[in-house]
Amino acid sequence: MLARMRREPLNDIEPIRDLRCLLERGARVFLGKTAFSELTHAGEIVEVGYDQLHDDVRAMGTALLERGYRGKRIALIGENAYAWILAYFSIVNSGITVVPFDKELSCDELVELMDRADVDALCHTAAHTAEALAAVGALHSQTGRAIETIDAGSLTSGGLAPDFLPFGRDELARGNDCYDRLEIDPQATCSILFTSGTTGTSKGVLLSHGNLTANIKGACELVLCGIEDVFVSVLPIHHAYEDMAGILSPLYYGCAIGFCPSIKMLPKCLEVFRPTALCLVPLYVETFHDRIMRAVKQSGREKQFAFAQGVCAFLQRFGLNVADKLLAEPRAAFGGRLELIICGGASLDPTYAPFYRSLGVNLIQGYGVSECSPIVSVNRNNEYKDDSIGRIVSCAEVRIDDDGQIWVRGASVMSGYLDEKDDVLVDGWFPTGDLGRVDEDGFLYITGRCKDIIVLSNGKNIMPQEVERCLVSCESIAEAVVVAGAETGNGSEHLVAHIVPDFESLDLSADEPEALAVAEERIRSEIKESNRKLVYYKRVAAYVLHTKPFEKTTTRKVKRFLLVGNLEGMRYV
Amino acid sequence: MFDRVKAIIGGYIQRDDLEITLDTDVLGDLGINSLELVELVCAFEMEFDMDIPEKDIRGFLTVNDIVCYLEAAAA
Repeated sequence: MLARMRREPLNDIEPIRDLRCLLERGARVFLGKTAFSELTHAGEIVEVGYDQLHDDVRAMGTALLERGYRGKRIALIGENAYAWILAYFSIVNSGITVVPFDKELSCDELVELMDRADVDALCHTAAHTAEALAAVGALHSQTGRAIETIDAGSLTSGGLAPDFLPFGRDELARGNDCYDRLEIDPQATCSILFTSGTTGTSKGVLLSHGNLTANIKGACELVLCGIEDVFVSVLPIHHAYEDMAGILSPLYYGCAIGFCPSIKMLPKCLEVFRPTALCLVPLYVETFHDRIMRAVKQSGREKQFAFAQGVCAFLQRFGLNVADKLLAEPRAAFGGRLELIICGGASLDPTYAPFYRSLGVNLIQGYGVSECSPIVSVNRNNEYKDDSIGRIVSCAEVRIDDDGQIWVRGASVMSGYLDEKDDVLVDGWFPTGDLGRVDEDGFLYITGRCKDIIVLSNGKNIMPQEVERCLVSCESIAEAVVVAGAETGNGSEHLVAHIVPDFESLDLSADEPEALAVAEERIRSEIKESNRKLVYYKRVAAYVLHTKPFEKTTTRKVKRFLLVGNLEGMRYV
Repeated sequence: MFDRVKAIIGGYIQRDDLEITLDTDVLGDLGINSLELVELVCAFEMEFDMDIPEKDIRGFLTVNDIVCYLEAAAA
């Protein structure tokens, strides 16, 4: 009989009523401590303390309430920056609903989502002023709806929320207490997150303060951080995973969070902020690994590196960490003091964890879905299994149905989707679309997916039907099925399209020996054109040609499972 | 311009088996991911002493896109 893993008690975490209480607690408990940092163009650090965060949100919240936004919806777009955080907390802590948008969305997509969410304003950081103005203008011309823009500004250039923050501060100085008097309803929707839907149309996930604060408690009970910890926020800030694991939970622990506004800035941000913890998706974990191994190979020190790794791994068993001394060079790539990587958003090859641990970096996996606020499970600092997605948070129950699907119920599960009459929850249980199992020690594992959604290593969720619609609109393509590329390594970021040519519209006969080659040339060119219409992560990198129509079910649905993983004859676009 | 771009890409990917042409697909043929593309673009920035905004990088599908972008920026 296998020995069961001993369960450590959960970290002692106080319940938080709402996100306003989170900030009030931060200002009280971590007075004088840095909450957020940004880099100026000149490379200087600008910091914001927990008390300033609380004061700024009070002032901006007051301004929003005075301008009549209570009970309304405000969309939010921007890069990872304090201005985005200020806007987010000011909105949700003033009885307003925030609708965070992916900054990569096209103008048309922004218009569609603003219309669907029926927002009253679009708030943007200074760097996204042009996109916001264009989207609001397009919304007006396409739908006749006129909404306002709110400039959240910038901490490092031009000032924060110039039309709101000074006004709010003046109101507070005059004794305006509308913000302080406002009672937050923990169960009311405070956030609408657009996520990939099962039909190809994104769905608006309705989350409340209570959902989010329950998830903060659940996540912090499992993963321990401290006030000395420094995070660098690099994943898209509109995403539920970054918000919970990279912002809200670290704020509970009094950590400092440095913002990385763009991927290009990441090396500089790691060097300057010197994080002790990072929340990443597999793409980063794989790329950092490849970069370290490339540098080792180029320096011709592979043997010394392997030896140092072995020594570090051996001594770690006795609680001795010598990675700082023996592996200082590769560790410098992360700023030199990284201790923890939490990896989520997509499946990670478990072989990376021992590599990182030998460098003195504990790499643990977690799992979540936006509908669950989002964390469902995460490995613990000292209690982990590398092939598992961890222990289940205390705020959620998990059950596996007869088909193997993971269902989640509990305080962190959403109330439903925006404007959907049919309740997706069954007696409070949310079907995740992922297949999994729980082992004897209570660790959760993902074994597959029962929905069509493709999860790439960069954490992006793709509904294949959306890309397929774009492909079949090409003259040369009769049928298209989009699948993920190779499961591990750099290829996991790519989409592959299985294509049946439309010989008829190309005036070709499938029986002619040259027909496929002629069709291929046209298909390749049309995929390239089609790619230009798609956001970068939805582009098709490779294709597999088929001469016969895809096999269908009795209801005329393509049997996708026959094509997933079948990349024989694949060619890059 | 193409020769300079080709030399930078060749130095970055370190692959002898690939002939880089204007038609080469950046992510597919070069076998790099989106993070590595950003790293590669940083090398262009240094070589051509210019700033390439991240949103512009999303338009780099082929080597020709990069060459055209750099030529337009230099004009």
